[in-house]
Amino acid sequence: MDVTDVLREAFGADEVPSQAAENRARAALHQRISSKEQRVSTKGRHRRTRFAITAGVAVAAAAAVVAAVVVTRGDDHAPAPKAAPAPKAAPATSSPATSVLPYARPASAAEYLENAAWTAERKPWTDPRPDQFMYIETLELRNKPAYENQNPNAPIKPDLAENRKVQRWDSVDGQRMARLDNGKLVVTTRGEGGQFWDRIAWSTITSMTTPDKVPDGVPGPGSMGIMLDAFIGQYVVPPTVQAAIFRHLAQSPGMTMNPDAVNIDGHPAVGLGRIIEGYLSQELLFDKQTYQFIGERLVAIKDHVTHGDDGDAVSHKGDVYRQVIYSKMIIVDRPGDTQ
Amino acid sequence: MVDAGEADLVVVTQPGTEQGRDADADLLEQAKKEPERFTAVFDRHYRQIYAYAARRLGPDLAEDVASETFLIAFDRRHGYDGARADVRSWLYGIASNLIARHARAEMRRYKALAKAVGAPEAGDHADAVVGRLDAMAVRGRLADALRRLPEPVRTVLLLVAWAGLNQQEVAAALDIPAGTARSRLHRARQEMRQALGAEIEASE
Repeated sequence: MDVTDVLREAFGADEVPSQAAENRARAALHQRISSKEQRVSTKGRHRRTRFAITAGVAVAAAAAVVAAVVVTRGDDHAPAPKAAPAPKAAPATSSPATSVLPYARPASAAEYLENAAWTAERKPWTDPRPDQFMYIETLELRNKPAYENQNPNAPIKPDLAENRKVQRWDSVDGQRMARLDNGKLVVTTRGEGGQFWDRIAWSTITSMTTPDKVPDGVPGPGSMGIMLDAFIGQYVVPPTVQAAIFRHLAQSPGMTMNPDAVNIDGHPAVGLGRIIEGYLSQELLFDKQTYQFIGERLVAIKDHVTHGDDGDAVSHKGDVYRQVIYSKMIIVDRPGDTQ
Repeated sequence: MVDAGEADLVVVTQPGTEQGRDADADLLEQAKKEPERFTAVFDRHYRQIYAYAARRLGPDLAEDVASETFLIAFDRRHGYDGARADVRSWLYGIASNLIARHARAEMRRYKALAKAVGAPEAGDHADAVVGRLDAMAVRGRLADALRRLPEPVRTVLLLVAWAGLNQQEVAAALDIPAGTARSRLHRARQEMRQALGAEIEASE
């Protein structure tokens, strides 16, 4: 008797799934199928041309467009203007099994995003109270302040760049926010001192539970047309919502994968995103091994000259305009809490 | 290709047979244009994929893995290449990669099985009790040996033993060279034989 026969016999008859388990699996598949069909049938409505802004003003426009920005500050994330290139098929089959990769090695952005979604939705989560805070800690590669103030749209200069830790707390109900000002925690209540800001309602966020419920631009009061790529870096959202967003992006046309490792703090990363303005790649960064969402970047993929009223802006292939790593995205009880 | 009028015939062919492989390939082709046809692939293979995952991970995780296998397969149906692997092998490959993510849970399961000696129930006939204890002892030794195998080696062995794939199908499922599948299977068999000791040598 061969050992494989022994193995078969020793472990007994095949386990049979419960009817409930089978029904759940079939329902999940039906939901996925109907979700794809809906995407196909409504594809024509998802045009993104209104978000195509000139690259020369893309970074500067961030402060005006990003929903979470306070009028008096401008250190938030750049929005992700989108283009609408032709859809790309998702080729893939199995790859070698390893103890690290949960799936076959992804061969397309869509597959990578699916794996990222799968990873995201398995994170533990407790629904926050309205008075709790979303704490987001980022490590941003930026030019030194003196240079940045003079050249706000310039690419990151290796000799002038520094990593800056940026911490922000925003209450779930959107009524309070906190930032560090020269090391001192400053908490602001909406309306206080004439300061107002817009935040996307928590009920809007939690309604985005499946890809078909995720809009290309988050709607509703306070959204200001914020794009998904930027949204997921500015809000701490439930795992199901983050997964739905990744799956929505996976189904969106024009998503591309940059398979070259991007080493940031020793983390090999892969960039998934879109080509905007024909020469910039707006990418979400994912850990290559774990599929965790770790950051974003905006990088020129070829030389380009943008003609403007105030002169020409020259971009060179490889210029990095924005690079942000999300160190922490968690819910905390009070502003100032970091864990 | 199978048209809608032949669809009922497709469903009753056995997965793993030549006819079944053709039927699977046809279903996949249809599902590329009519996504709802993919439910027939689910109906044909879900239970086998579940059973394979359950043996390696237990019923709870098996439910997750089996369900996710078909979601991923559906998402990737356009990239399926029938020339490289039949649908059944392809699905087992996806499931195996998902199972690899739960390596620790799989280790715990084998460890528990290796420790499970089992107490005879009152009233059991003596011979039956002895037979069951022997079987459990064999299973325990196998479980302990499985726990010690590197995951890629274990996967090849279990795709043969529990999924019923042959070496070529295993190689296609895992997208590895046939020679690699063969050498891993050879190594796994050696380890299993050592674990079973004289019993298996005598019966082979």
